[in-house]
Order: sequence, then C-alpha cells, then structure tokens
Amino acid sequence: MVEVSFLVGGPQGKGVETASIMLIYAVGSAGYYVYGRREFWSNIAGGRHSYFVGKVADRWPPGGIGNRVRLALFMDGHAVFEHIFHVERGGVAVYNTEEDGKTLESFTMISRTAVERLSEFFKRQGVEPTVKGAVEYMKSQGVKVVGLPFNKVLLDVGRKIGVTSPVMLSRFVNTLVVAVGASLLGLPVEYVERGVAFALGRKKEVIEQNKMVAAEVGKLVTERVETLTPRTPETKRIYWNGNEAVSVGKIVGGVRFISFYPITPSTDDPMFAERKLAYPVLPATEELKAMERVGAVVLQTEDELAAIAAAAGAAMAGARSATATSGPGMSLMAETISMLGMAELGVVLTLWSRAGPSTGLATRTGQHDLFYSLFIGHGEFPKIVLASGDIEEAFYDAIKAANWADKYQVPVIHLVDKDLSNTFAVMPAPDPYSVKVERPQPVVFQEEKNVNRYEITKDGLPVRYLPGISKAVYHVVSLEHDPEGDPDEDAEMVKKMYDKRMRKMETIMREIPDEDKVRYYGPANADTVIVSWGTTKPQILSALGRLPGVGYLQLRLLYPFPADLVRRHLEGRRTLFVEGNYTAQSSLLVRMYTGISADGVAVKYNGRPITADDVLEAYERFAKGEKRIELEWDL
Amino acid sequence: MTAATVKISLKRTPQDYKWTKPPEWCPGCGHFGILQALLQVFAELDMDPTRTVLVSGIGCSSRLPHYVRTVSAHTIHGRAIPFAIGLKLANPGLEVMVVGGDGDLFAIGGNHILGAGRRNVDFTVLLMDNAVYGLTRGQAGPTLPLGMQPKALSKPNPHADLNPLLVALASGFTFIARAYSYDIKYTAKIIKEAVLHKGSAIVQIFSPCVTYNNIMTREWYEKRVYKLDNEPGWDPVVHDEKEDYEKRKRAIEKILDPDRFALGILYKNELVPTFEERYASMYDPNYPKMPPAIQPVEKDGRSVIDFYRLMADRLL
Repeated sequence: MVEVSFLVGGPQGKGVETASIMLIYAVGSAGYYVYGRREFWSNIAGGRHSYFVGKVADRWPPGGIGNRVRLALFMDGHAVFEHIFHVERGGVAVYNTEEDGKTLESFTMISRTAVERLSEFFKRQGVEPTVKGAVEYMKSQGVKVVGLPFNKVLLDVGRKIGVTSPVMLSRFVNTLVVAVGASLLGLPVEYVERGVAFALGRKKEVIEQNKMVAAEVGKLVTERVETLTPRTPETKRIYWNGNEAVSVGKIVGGVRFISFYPITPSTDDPMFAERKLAYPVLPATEELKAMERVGAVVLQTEDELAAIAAAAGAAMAGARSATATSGPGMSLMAETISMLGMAELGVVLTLWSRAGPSTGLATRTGQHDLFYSLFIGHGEFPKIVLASGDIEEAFYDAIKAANWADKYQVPVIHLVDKDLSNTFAVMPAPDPYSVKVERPQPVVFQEEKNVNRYEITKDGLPVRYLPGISKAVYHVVSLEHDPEGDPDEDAEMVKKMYDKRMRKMETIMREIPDEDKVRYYGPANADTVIVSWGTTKPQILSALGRLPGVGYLQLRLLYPFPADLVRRHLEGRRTLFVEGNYTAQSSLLVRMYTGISADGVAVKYNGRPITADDVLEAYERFAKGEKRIELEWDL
Repeated sequence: MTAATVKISLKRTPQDYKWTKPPEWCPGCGHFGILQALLQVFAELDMDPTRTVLVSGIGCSSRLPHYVRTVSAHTIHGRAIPFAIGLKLANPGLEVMVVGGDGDLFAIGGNHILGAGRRNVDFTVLLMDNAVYGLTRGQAGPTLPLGMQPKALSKPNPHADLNPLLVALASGFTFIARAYSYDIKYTAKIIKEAVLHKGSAIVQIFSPCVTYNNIMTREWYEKRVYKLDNEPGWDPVVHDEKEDYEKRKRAIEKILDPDRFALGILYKNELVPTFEERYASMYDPNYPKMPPAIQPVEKDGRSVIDFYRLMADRLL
C-alpha cells in the first residue's frame, strides 16, 4: 500500500501553483490517485507564502491529510520557516542551500506574529535564527534534509539547454523542486514531463526547456522517500478541483444560465463554465445531433444583487439557473433569496464559504456560514440547504441541487467552502449519468389563456407555466397574493397561501431520499458518534480508521432539517460535534430540532481546515472529559 | 424589438390588455396616463400577452403590471432591471419591459442602470418619474431638485437631483426619450418607438404625484415641457457611426436644459450591437435558436451533456 503526504511551498505568484499541478499530474499519469489543497494569502504576488499540501496513494480515497507531511519541497527559505513543524519524523525536506545564511528577520513577508513566535522558540531551543538553523532543527527532529544550491544547479543546467539569463533561470525553480520531488518519489522522468506539459499548457518552447531542466535535475538526487512504480489504474480518472467539479455538475444537471459577481473563492466555478462553452452534447435528439454543442449564458453582473436577480429572471423564463458566491456576496443576495421563496422561483446558489465576518479571511476556509445559509432571508419561506462532504459528493449534489430548484421552485443553497474550492484531485471519474436529470414539464395551451400561477395545490408546488412557451398569461409577485398573483392581504387568503408555500417543506422532506439527508459511517452500535457536516468528511473518515467503535454521522440536508433521522442516529449515544467555527453551530441546530445536546464539541476557526490529526486529537481530549476542544493546528 | 418581428393586425384592442382587477392609484395620478398609453401601444403592435413580460420593482409605479394582461413579475425594490435582463437573456424571444419609479430605478437600483447600458440588451425601461417616494408617503426621490420642499418633507431637500437621462446616455442606453403622462397620445407614440427600438431603450415619463408632490404639478410641468417634433431639423437618429459624437452632444444639450424640458426622442442608435448579438458572435452561434430557456437538458432523465467530451482534456 502506497501513501505519501507532500507539501510544495514558496512565494505566492512565483510558481507554487504550477509546481503543485505538475506534481499532481505527474503522479496521476503514473496511475496514482492524488488530492490536496492550496493555501494562499489574499494577494496575487508580492512575496507572501503559499503552499499546496496533499496526498498520493495507490487507491481512492488516499486517506486524510494529517498535521505533518512526508515530503516537503521548499522553493525558498521563507517556506522553511513556515513549515518547520510540518514535516514528519523520517520525512524529507528539500531546500535551497544558497539561503543558509539568511536570517528569519530578513524575510519581511513572514507575518510578524510568526517571526516573534519563532524567534522565541529558537531562543529557547538554542537554534540559530537562520535558514541553516531551521534546517538543523528539522534534522534534530528526525527529518532528512536534501539541500541543493538552486541557482548553481540551474546555471549548470541552463548552460546545457542554452538559457543564461538569471531572470529566465529563476522561472525554473518550480520545475526544479518538482523534479527533485519526483526523484525522491522514484517517479520516472517521463511522468514529470507529462506534468510539465500539462501545467504549462500551450507554451511549446517553455515546455521543452522545462522538460530538459526536469531531466537534468532529476539525476542529481539519489535518495528515495518512496518508489512510485507506474501502475495501471483501476478506473477512468479525472483531474479537477472543487470549483470545477461543482461547475461541471451544474452543467450536467442542465444549468444553462449562470450569473455571478467576482469573489474569492467562488469565481473559478462560473469561470470554468464560461471557459468550457459551448458544451458538447450527446445526439439525444435530432436537433441536438445537428448542433453538436449547446451554449449557456454566463453573465458577469455589476454586483451580487444583480447576479441573483438575473438568475431569478432566467428561472422565470424557464432556464435552469444558478449563481455562485461567498459570504459577503450572499449578504447582498439575501433580499432576493427571500423573494425566490415568496414568488416561487428556483435558483441554485453555490455558497463557497470562507472564514470570518466582513471581509475576514478571503482566501481561508471556515464553516462559519451554516446558520447564515439556513436562516438567510426575511420572513419564513421554504428553501433547501445541502452541504457536500467531498469533491465527488459535491459534483453529484450540484446535479441534485439543479433538479430540486427546478422541481420545488425554491432557492437551493449548495453549501461548500474554500477548502473544497481549492482541493485538487486526480480521482476516479464520476458516473455523470448516475443522477437522473428530472425536469418538470410546463403546461402548454393551444389557445392563449389567463391562469393562476399560485393555485392552491396539495403538495404546495406551483403549476409550471413559462412565458412564450405555455401560451398562458399570469403574474409572478413578491407581495403576498391571491392565486392570480396579485396582492391580497385578506386574512384567510394570507393563511391559505402561507400554508400552501410551507407545504413544500413536507413535500421536500418526503421526496428527498435519506442518503441525501444524512450518511452514517462506522459500527451500528457505536457508543460514541462524531457529528459533522461539509468538507470535514475525508478527514473524519480517515481518522475513523484509527478509532474503532466510533461512528460518524454526516449531516447533509440541513434545511429542511431531517430531525427524525438524526434523532434515530444519535439517541442514546455520546456525541462529539466537530466543525470549523466558533459556536459549534451544528450542535445547536441538532439540539434545536431534536432536543439532543452535544456531549462535546471540537471547533476550529483559525482559517485552516480540520485535519485528520485534529480529529484524532479532538477524540482523545473528548475521551478524557473535555467538553469544548479548540483546535489550532496551522497546516 | 425589431420592426420585422411585429405582426400588424387589428386583432387586439387596448381593452384586451386589461387585467381582471382595476388600478389602485390615487385619483388623478399621472400613472393612469402611462397605463392607458401602454395598453394602446400593446394593441397597436398586437403584442402577444403570453410572450410579453412586464417587470417591476417596488413603488406606486411598480404596481402597474398588476393592471395589465400580460405575463409579469412584480419583484423587489431596485432589482427589476437585472431580473428583466436574466429573463430576456434566457429567452430572447420574449418582449421584456421594465416599469418603475425614479427611486426604484435610480436610487436603490441605480447601479443596474449602469450595468444595463453597457450591455445594450434589447429591452425597454419606462421611468415613471414623480420625484417622490409615493408609496412611503412622499419622501424625496433622486430627481427632486435641491432645496425643494414638497409637503411631506419637514425640511428642504438637502440632496441635489440627478439627471436620469444623462446617466442613461453615459451608461450606453441606445434609445433615450422623454414623455409626459397627461399627454397620453404622445406618450404612447414615444413608448411605441422605444419598444420597436433594437437595444436598451429608456423613456423618462414625467408623471406627477397628485398626493405628495405639491410643487412639481401638472401646471409646473406644463410650463416647462415642449415637443422636439416641432423643432425644425431635429433628427436624433445615428445613421452612421461617425455621427454618434455629434448626436450625443446634441442630446446632452437638450437633456441638460434646466428650464425647458424637451419631450420626444433625444437619441437613438441601432448601430450598436445588442448583448444578444454580442453573445451569439463571441460565445455561442446557436444562442439565438437555442437559448437557455428553450434547450432540452435531458432525454428520458439522462443529461444531454457529453461529459466525456466536455472533460476530455482532464481525463487520465
């Protein structure tokens, strides 16, 4: 069984992302499965530190990401300081020996808080506050260090391939660390070349130069962390990130109108839908056969108010429509979300949540917006909130969200986060046709007719009329109304309409299958159950392997809340809620709907995701009697 | 709407566009004239009520769609324009028209005017301008001049007025016109031209609030308005792109006149491609015949998307 955790770190905007993609694609090409996440500051370049932390394995899923990695590739001395505690005993760290003499203080882009913390630590430990000192400290902790003079190596290689400009050569640092990493992983150079070609895209000459750099540099390393023998994968695989998986899920699910206003970490979702235009279609009908490709409107609006309003208008026209945003953007959408409930229009809102109130931590993760998504919008109205646990689930959930918005004519909030958005994976390709695309058909008349769009129906769902298609005349309205869609404040009608709308909640609860409401993992008779929601899933599942007798209840449908199901799973068990916010929101939610109180909560709100090791630590402290566990690991 | 798509027949009358319930405005409200003019235009153009969509936000004027027998959406304060744009882009075969007041379109919804102009979506905006917030009992609207004190205000208006047509022109609207609601016949004439215009059209219609604006009354407006039709040689149409600068300058001169309010078409340019045309040429040539609302997305429950071709560059 092969399982290697790894990290690539360096100055933001100087090739860290490219290096990670090269490495992921290289090991992927050799038949392995990979996933990991990108961490970065809310800047473009400017020297802040960015890194990618992930895991390679010969199976999917590759298991959790822990607190320390086995292979660390440091593109600069700054990275050494950032990750001094992030390499495991017996692991390997690669760094540039030419920076040995640089002091901690000289790296001005390290957070001053970190500098103070490290200075104090070095003083206590008697470690010299230089790159060399940091490396020596890592060695003392059982880390093997592979030091190379990066510039000298590149100068030598440059002479062989005819590149001498120092600026040009500095651009090969990403390929250099990847080639060293690949050698340490025992990966044949041809796979590195595939990674290089994939990551660099269309730049032919640059690709050739980088391939040569990779080949030359690879020869310099003889140590091994692992031997990744090329293997034949079990299944067709796909390379993508969370933003892309959800974007494609929506397209497969029939979404053809996508409006958005740029905001991190959501924008890559609609932008991927735009880049992929026009979409190839199966020859399902004669018309589609002739067309080969279909389009979608991807509209960048002037603000989030317009983004969701445009999606609402498109939904009224009959298109499956969606918007994507993050917390600040959703705040602007609140009033229209309420309107969608009242006017009965279905829109998918993918919420790529991030950390903190206000602008907060624009590029960091958090599960702070659970309550906000549940209770957003004034007044009471039916909506759906669905949280995905991992990249595969998020793809399928995007299709389901599109179905539900269309069928129930309600806002559907698909709750995902920054962690998922920047999770990159080489993983088994999903079965894109395993989720049915269920499209309610509109009523179409022969002769033009006035109709009641808000007829009082048993299941609460509106009859489907579409402008220009149904030959029907009707009014859509945001005020309380009569069946014709005109304002009505008569007390009896108000109650009737209210009841009718809220009946959707029962219909939704009845029709959505249990597996979309909660998922339970672990022994049926577990004494203790870890309760969580969202992207903590892979880490908890991984930790569960080391916690025999412990169960895990993953909450998926959060609104309407499947109280009976949750109660059935939790009654009589000890519960530990694990989630990425301060107030342990899901524990409060469960108590509100089921009366079951948490026995313990483990929370993390430092902008970093919960790792598999965090989960183990949480359980250990919980078992010792701690009621509130605050997790603080910084990887 | 393009002229070619208008089917001229005498089938429908203004009466056919009246909804089941009567208007609920104050007696004498300027908005009655706009409603009457609109019904006339719909009848004249024999608009299909099942493919004509009136979109409004919030306010007295935004109630108008409830009195008209077409498909409509009475949305929330300020958002009528983006809602309408979404509707139109999802199905460009629809005739989409926004109605709203000065507060709805130029205060709370102001940013969407800027967005709309830049796109030049083929739709029409009717600005029913009375310079006050009638439905909340007479607060100052964005077109109320500085220092003016209609009866609901306890102090003179400390805000200066904005010029909606100047904003619309600067944003890129390709049809700019003005009308006066008590002149129903002329208002109908201008609205008709706006509907027929290919691109984003806006008509500012002075529509006095008889209950709260006791200063900008019928008499006040009638002292100031005049029709451009009577100006010799007035031609607001851009016939050639080279004329655009000159035509805009002339329009601005009229729009800025503080004393005399020109009624009529101030600027019209159909040479600017609509957003729908831009979309078809830049994004998807099939867009006109297969827009989002018309597309089949599944066949027997199976997505029509060829996932494996779509993601071919990502499959290993």
